Amino acid sequence: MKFRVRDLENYFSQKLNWKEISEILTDKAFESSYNNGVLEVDILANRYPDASSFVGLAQEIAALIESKIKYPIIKIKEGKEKINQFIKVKNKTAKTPFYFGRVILGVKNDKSPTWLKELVESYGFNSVNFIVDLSNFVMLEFGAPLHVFDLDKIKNKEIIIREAQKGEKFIALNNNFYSLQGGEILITDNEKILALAGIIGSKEAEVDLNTKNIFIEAAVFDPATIYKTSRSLKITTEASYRFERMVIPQRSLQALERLSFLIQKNIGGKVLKGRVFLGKIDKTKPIEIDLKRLEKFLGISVNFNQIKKFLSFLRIKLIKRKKDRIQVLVPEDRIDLKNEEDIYEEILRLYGVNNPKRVFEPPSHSSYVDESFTFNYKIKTYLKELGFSEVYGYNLISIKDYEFFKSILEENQKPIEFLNPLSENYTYFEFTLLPNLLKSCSLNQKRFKDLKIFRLEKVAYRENNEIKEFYNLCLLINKKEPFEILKELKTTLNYLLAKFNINSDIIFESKNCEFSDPFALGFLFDKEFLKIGLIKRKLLEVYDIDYNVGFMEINLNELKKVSTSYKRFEYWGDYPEITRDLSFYISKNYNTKKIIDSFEKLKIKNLKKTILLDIYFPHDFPDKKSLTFKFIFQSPEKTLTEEEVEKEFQKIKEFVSKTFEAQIR
Amino acid sequence: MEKYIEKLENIFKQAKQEIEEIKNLKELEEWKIKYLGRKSYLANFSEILKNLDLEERKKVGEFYNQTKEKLEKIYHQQKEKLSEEEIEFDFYHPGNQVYYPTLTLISSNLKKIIEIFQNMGFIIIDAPLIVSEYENFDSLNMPKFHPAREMWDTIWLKEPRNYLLRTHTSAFQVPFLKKYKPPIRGIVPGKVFRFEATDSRHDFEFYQIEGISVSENSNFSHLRYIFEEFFDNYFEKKITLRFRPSYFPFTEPSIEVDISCVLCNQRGCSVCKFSGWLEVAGAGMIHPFVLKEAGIDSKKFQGYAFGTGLERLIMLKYQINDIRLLHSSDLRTNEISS
Ligand SMILES: [Zn+2]
Repeated sequence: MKFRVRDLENYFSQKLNWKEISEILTDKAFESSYNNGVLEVDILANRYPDASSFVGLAQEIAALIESKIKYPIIKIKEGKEKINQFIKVKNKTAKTPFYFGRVILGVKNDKSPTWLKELVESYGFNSVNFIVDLSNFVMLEFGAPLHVFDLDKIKNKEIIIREAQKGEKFIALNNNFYSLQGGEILITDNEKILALAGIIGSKEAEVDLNTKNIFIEAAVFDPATIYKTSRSLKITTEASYRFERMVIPQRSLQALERLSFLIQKNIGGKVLKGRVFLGKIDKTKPIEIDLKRLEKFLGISVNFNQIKKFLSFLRIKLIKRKKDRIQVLVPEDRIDLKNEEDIYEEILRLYGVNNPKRVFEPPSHSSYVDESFTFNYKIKTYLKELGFSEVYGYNLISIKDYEFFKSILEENQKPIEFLNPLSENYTYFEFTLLPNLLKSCSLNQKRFKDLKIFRLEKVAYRENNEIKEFYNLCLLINKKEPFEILKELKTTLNYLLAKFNINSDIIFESKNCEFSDPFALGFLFDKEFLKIGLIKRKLLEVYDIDYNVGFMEINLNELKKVSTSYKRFEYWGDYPEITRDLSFYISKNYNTKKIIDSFEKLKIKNLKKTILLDIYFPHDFPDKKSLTFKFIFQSPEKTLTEEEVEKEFQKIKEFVSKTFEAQIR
Repeated sequence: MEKYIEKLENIFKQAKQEIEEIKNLKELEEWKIKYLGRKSYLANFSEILKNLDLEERKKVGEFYNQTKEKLEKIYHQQKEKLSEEEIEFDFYHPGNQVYYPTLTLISSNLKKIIEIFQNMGFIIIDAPLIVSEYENFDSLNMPKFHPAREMWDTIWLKEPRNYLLRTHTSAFQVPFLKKYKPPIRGIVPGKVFRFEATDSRHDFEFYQIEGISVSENSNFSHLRYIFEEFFDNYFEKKITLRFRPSYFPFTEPSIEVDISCVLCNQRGCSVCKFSGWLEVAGAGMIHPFVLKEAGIDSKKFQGYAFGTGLERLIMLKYQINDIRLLHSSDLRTNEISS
């Protein structure tokens, strides 16, 4: 909030150095700056009720510079006639805990004098007339909003405070029309809505230059209701801003008195005897403080005399002391001070928040890092070793991305969609990292011949109405040759599996996919954990990508489950290995995995290991594929002879040609 | 006899003259073939020696041997000289063009930060991004319709209702304290999301680092120790701290943490707006309300919590002036990441 310092100076008898004051405020209360007669203060939300006013801020400054303020003059001359003969107020809602009022008869309203006009305008108000401007001035002075009604426009001189019904209509001062939701607080007479309480008045009982008799309202309305009403009708006023941050009843009452005094003093009128006074202001309850705990809580050491001094500057009364325990009473306008810790904070502020010295506290347990951080970082390092770079990516995707990739979600899985998306570009939470990785590819492709990038981030969706959130890894390779891309992805996968000591075979299941061809799912122990394939041409055009893109997306949750950080040592054997390579053509339709598995069932003597070296599709035989295997023979007992190995190798050859109708090359 | 010696002398003279003119190894090899090769005069000299008498053979033979040795010697000398001169290298040669793969600055810096806190006994915990309204707000002393909630503009889920993208890592304070009973100290790093317009200093998602310590003693002086160690280690220089009063609904007292400007060392610059201070974190003593929500006796246990923004620290350290560069998926952003 911006204050003209000349408005604050009225409350001090001494001259103040405002540059210095702004520094003290920053250190002990609120971040502040001073420039050209204006003090800008960032009043903290919990202090808004008491400090966002001339009196409130002056009081805070006084506490910090160990001084006192000059309190505003209030000297009302009350008439003999009683207020209750001129106005009756009925409150029908618990959402109005306090409602105060005064009646002044025979005022001579006028345009505001220059000083007042300038003052309200410099705080962002339009100057309306003397009475309205004075009420805004007093709101600034005490932080409590006031509303002045033209008494003669109130039907039957009766005010009823009630909650709105759904569908009720309200036309505000600014001529805007509102249809109410029900539950808003209304100030009404028997016929009309006079004001949307705490937010804005209507034209019905508006004060103008012809106004003779007035009713001044000072109230406290339920902050949550004002907040809701202000948001749902989209009206924010100075009053609503203050009411939703809570108005202090005592201040509200003071503001009422001050405004009555100022009106009487400046434009005359008869202030009637008595006040409308609904609600009961409770006395503040004493708070008990343990001085030993205070030191332990704040990490400072402070003696009782200092504490006593601080409390007195803060207008906090010390009412009892029993050894280390004291009882205090906070001033009525400090409604933010409710418990022991609140008082600690006040003492710390005056002591100096920056004063606690550094002290080492030994940890009482060992440290560890969540596995996901260590695991994820390992993966990132491994990929870096293979020439992949990580790219940053947002977690949110567009409607378009969703449409292209929604087939990834299964029937019982629904995307995480937002109620209030930032824009159509950020409507869903990612359930695949691919779309945003493709965008990065498009951005980076021009500068790289072979682009290799990855992202490792959380993805999420709802599965059977439960939120699932886990880490995915998505890799992308962008270059000309599609076969090379897929081969490199397989190399990368092998590397990762080796690094995490996963020995078991992956089952690949080729599938039709909306965005990818060829495309396969990968399974480990019957669990799907991998998607791999080439992105279809039409999609590459959408994401503006030249050349080809292959991708591999891995569910890290599943990968982590089967990985180990170490494995058992395997001795390489005492006798030499003898190897034989075998290449053959077979029909394309044979499942390669079945062929690999069939060798294991063959029971070939001394066959230690079978390795698939290569698969390719020969141009000359369009219905065939060529496989190349390496067979490693080794005996645990002796050096094998070439003849022994050859005999077993023949068996394999025969098996292959017979069982798979293979043509050995 | 004399003529043979003269002939050998002439051959040597000529060979020496020629070899001095030679500029490369290829020519040298040709020279070698000419004078020492299979078809050279010297190679076939034994035929000549055969026809001489013993006395002459001894004399001429000796001279022949000397000549041959001399030729071999100048051959090797010249070869050595030429080999040396052959390897020319300009040490400004750029080496091969190699691409260095990189991780994001976020990844590498988060790694470093995790290590610093791990060394100070913090456990490092990963928490969900999608949380309930209760976790993000109510459990932190921010009931519905509380204006304080507007400090954190929220992206809400369509379904389930009352779920949201966490607006701060503090959303894990109560679950953390419920799961790990005090005394405990921990760090919860990760992304948070805000319903907010983007500019050079704000983005709708960014990383926070949440710290929590609850024990019978944890207080501001312990927090000061942790912060000083952290910032000194992160920025790799001596940092001065300044605590200022602040307000958060879930801490009491609350503070704002400033560090001495890492760019100008408090001489004043545009980044610190000539104040010498940079606001980098919020902190405070955990509010009794929050401890109670976590089922902790607030008379027995106390503690501090703090939160700082990762991007802000990275931008200060590497002098990046726009968060959108840091959040770009352009690989050029990574280049300074190690
Ligand atoms: Zn600076």
